Amino acid sequence: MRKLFLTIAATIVFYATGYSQFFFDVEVDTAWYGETVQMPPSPLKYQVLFIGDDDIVQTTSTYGNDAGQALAKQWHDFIGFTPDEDSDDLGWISVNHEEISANDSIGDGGGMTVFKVKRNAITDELEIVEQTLADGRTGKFFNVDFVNTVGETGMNCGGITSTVDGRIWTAEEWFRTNNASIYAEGAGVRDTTDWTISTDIAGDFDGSTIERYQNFNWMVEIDPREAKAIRKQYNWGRQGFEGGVVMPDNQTIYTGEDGTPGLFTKFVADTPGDFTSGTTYVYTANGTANPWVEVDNTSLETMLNMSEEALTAGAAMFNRIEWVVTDGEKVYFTETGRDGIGSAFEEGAALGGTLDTHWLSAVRARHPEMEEKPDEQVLDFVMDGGFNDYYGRVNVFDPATGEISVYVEGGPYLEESPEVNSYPDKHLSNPDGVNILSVGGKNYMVICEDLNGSSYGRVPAGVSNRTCEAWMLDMSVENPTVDDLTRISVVPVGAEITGACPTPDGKTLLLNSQHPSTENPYPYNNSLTYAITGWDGAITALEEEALVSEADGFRIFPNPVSQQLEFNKVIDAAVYNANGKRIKVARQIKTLDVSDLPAAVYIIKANVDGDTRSLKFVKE
Amino acid sequence: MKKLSTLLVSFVVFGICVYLSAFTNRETAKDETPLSSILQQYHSDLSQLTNQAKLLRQSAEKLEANNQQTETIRKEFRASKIAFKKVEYLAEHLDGQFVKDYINGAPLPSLERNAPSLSVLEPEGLQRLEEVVYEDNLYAQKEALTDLTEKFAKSTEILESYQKKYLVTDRHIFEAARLQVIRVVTLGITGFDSPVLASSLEDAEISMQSTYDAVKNYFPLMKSREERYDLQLTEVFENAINYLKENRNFDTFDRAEFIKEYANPIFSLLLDAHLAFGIETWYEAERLDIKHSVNYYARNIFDQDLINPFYFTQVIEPKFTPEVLNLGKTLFFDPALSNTNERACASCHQPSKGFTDGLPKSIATGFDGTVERNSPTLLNAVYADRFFYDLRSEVLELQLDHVITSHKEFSTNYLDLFDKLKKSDEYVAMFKKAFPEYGNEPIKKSSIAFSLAAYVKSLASFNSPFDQYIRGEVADIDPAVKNGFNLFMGKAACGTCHFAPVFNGSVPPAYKEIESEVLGVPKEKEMANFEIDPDLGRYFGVNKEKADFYKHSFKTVTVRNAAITAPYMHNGVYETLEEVVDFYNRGGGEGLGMDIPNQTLPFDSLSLSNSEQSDIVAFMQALTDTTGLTSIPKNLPKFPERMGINGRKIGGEY
Repeated sequence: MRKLFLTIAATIVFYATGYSQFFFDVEVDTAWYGETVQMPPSPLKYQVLFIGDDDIVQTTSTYGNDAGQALAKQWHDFIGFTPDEDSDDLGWISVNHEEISANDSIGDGGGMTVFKVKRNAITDELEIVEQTLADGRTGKFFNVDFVNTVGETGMNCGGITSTVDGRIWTAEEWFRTNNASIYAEGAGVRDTTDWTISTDIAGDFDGSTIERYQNFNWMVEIDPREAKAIRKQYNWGRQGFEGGVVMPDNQTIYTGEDGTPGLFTKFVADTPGDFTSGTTYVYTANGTANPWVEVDNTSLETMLNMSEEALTAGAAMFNRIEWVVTDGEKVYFTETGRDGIGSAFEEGAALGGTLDTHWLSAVRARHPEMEEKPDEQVLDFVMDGGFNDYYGRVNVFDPATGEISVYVEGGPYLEESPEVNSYPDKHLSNPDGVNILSVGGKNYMVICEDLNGSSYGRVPAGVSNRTCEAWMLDMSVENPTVDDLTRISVVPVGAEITGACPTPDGKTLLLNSQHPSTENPYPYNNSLTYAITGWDGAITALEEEALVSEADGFRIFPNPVSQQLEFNKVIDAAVYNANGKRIKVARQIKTLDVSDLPAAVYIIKANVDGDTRSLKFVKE
Repeated sequence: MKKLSTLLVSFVVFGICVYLSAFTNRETAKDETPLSSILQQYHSDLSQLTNQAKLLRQSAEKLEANNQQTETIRKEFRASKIAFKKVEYLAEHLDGQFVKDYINGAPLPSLERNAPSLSVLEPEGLQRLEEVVYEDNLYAQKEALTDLTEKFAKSTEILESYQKKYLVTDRHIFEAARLQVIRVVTLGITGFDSPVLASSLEDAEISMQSTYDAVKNYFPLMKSREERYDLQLTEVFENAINYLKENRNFDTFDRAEFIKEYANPIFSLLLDAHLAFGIETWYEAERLDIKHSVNYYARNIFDQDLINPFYFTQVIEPKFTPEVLNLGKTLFFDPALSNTNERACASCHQPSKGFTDGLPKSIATGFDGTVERNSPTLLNAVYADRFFYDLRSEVLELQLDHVITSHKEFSTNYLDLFDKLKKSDEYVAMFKKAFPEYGNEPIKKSSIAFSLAAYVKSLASFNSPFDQYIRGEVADIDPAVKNGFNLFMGKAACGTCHFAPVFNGSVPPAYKEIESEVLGVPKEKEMANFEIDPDLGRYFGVNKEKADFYKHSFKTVTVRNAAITAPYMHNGVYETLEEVVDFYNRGGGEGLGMDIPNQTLPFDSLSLSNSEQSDIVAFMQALTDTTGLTSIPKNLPKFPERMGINGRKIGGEY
């Protein structure tokens, strides 16, 4: 049926470009109100691995309670992967819990769960392995012990998987400013007594006493093998951390802060692999060849006041940095954006904060009138809070030049919110999680959305759900734009899509559906970790056997259809079931989402330039 | 008339199946359809609003210390409000979030959505402006005034540019018109969005007129039909508008009359006309599998089915089966859910007391004091997007967590509870029957929560004497009840937080979001010097909402069945409805002489006479209906004899 495709030229061109980057058709249609996870079609396989509040984790002896079991916490965010080099098992998966809650068994605050997987040799699917840890715990899912090691954690958002050896850090975001804000009337962290630091980190940290809330908002290393925390990284500064990356030298670490202004910082270890001593720098836009300015990371006082210290040192100000990732050379990070910058940058600048030049292209992409304006004016415009950074972007930092530029700008910028059926097929808003999947020597960036709202064209008009999508980008594309993205998964209503962690063999991508609407059907009412497997294997392209139906110049395809019906003209359409009941109407469309229809035969009536055409189609 | 006849032909041809107006080519068809005329007017009204906002800003800029400009500013403000009221019906429907955030939101601080840390947004838009422009010494507010008028001018510009680009179809007009009728009834004539000026009745007239003007464009098409909806709509719309014109006294406006005679008839006639045209509804235009909070086919604003309870729970319609409901009801009355086998959900939610327990605060397990707060009724509890007095749970099903684990309540945990229930063959069989999709492991947190939620969902109460009256099913009601309703929805300002028809804090017309309020409820009923109840409410409810303005803020619960759910308030401080009304009449905590920062209730006395107060109580008493809702199971599932719990008491020991 390929010939028929060619007769519908416009659509064919679209399809061809959409698919060419991939081995096969992985694109999924959007689903503005899905109640389950939307998945690419076969041959990719889909598995739910770990369900919050449903799967049982093994706990250590906590707060005087015996070691035992508990239902896992919710709000899965970051996923880390640590390969097992010593057995045939694949490795350990670490999942953050952003949810803050008091829990007698797991410990108060947020937390993490780890579990080990192996690959089924026949199906390639992941299987969770039962383990017995050194502390005697036996089971499949293990609570990471923070309480008895480094103190509770909170708001475990992003994190770091070392690309060198799979070491894992969890990031404590949502900056805390007093004990009341962690206590939450006993629903959060119940012990708010002072905390005495016990650490091997170089500086005046060990033995110092801080207020309990100050022991939050660090990067925290854990040992996924034994499900316990190792140390809070007091020498990287106290920040609303979201993401970070260990470079291949196992010595340089870049981190990002989710705030406005948010910091981009660097730590360089004295000895590769030993992150207890080294130098901490903050990225500045000071106009000199070396943008990195050192911050004293041996002083607890300085590290506690990281933001102020860094801004005073001229830190470049970003609008909510989320995850940070590397392809081995360059460093990519998401800047998720925010509806109103307001006076946040002006206040940061009052301390000494600066703006770097990546803002120039971001602003000019949105405001054509800025094209001709001198750079200084554009930066002033950002500084004054004039730039409404609705959609955010992915940035790239080149260590060789020290420059940060926009890699993919969010958007396209919409001056209106179009209706569902005329909404752009590809629209990137508020990128948050980001990672890189390597398959067959090629790199694909995975970008996860966490929409800041449903306004400003982030979703179509009339859609009140902030639908979050995961996108994939072939990184060999030069100067990529949103049009180069391929949608690979959509999480259900209410959820944020997070995790985006590839297994090192390139076969599986792990994702989380975080805090979905609790009104979705089980298990999609809980946060859950899922796996999409088969990225490596399906090299043969799928043969499209799509049939095209035609009536007097009006064509629909494919037929039978499973997801989306396409037309050769813009039409007003009504769909009737076999009983003649009208069940769907859409206007001014060239495609119609029919994934919500039960499998059956339907009739579509279309108003084509004033005439009515009817065609039968089969929903599979 | 040529254009019209062309239209009629296409109408007849497609009328039965689908009315596809001739806007396929929107450019050439511009002047030919009802829709294009409506949009032309709408776009011009949007520009008018933008221009008016500019004039307001300009007049504010000119304000000097002598305050001479004050009257002009107030005039321009009023003109801006009127300009907004003209576009309200459609602007709200197309982008309610934007309107709430920037144009006509409550004059209260709010929190930025999805922000990286707690970020307070100061109120802006018409309601906040109204507070400012009616200050006595306006010049003292110049900074705020300039800021607010500048923001408003900018926001109206954005509104205009976004709204003009929407693809609006006929269904949007009918939907918007019908939702506007709900808005006028619940938020308009109650004075909700006119905090200072009480210009609500004039505003209501303008928005009704603008809605009518839009709908009128379809009248030529309606003429061909036997039902002559055009004539019926003309009569009832014009009467409604006249009624609003002629009755401008906010305190004495007869809201019951207005709703019965005008609002509800318009609401149902618009539905009839919409469906008769064959125009699609939102069900056909959006995915079939999404849940809508409002049932478009409801014919009356006080119908039980106006709000879709399934929107608020995990319970999906096809799974709302007798098996699930029966299981939920059994679990609700079974004390085996508690650690001691003595306490059930029904311990604190007794059917005979309107699913409360008649105590200020419920007894804690082991008689070890009390729990933290008063037990709220479960009747109509489902109609809320968040639960607990502090709003900490997002869905009914999550409430259970607290009850199961709290040492003052069931004092157990899920894993132990699963083990226990699995020992009862009868329970296992009931779970399997209700949840065949879970196979051999049907006892899960989700199945327990799901069935309990299904039971609570079934406790809908919308057939009280007042409901029957306002729906027109009975002709008359005690004049005290009617007067009480009119006061509740007007002078006494109850209906601006307890929104009709559930009379809880779920905000119409979508009813998707429930509100909380800072009332300043005292610790004790009588105190020489009143002290506020120390409970911080919502401030401690949700970690990400720890904003000062949520201190002592509590969920607005339903007033339905209040007559049988004493005592009242989150701490049960008041024993009678009279005491509650007295508290509000005096101006809440501030009125009692306390300093309550961020009190969201008016500080001044409501100046209600004794007879007015007793009429309000009479109205609330007429909201009682527990028919068919209070039965309890005859027996509970058996456990193995050795467990010694088969003699446990249905509904719990205490």
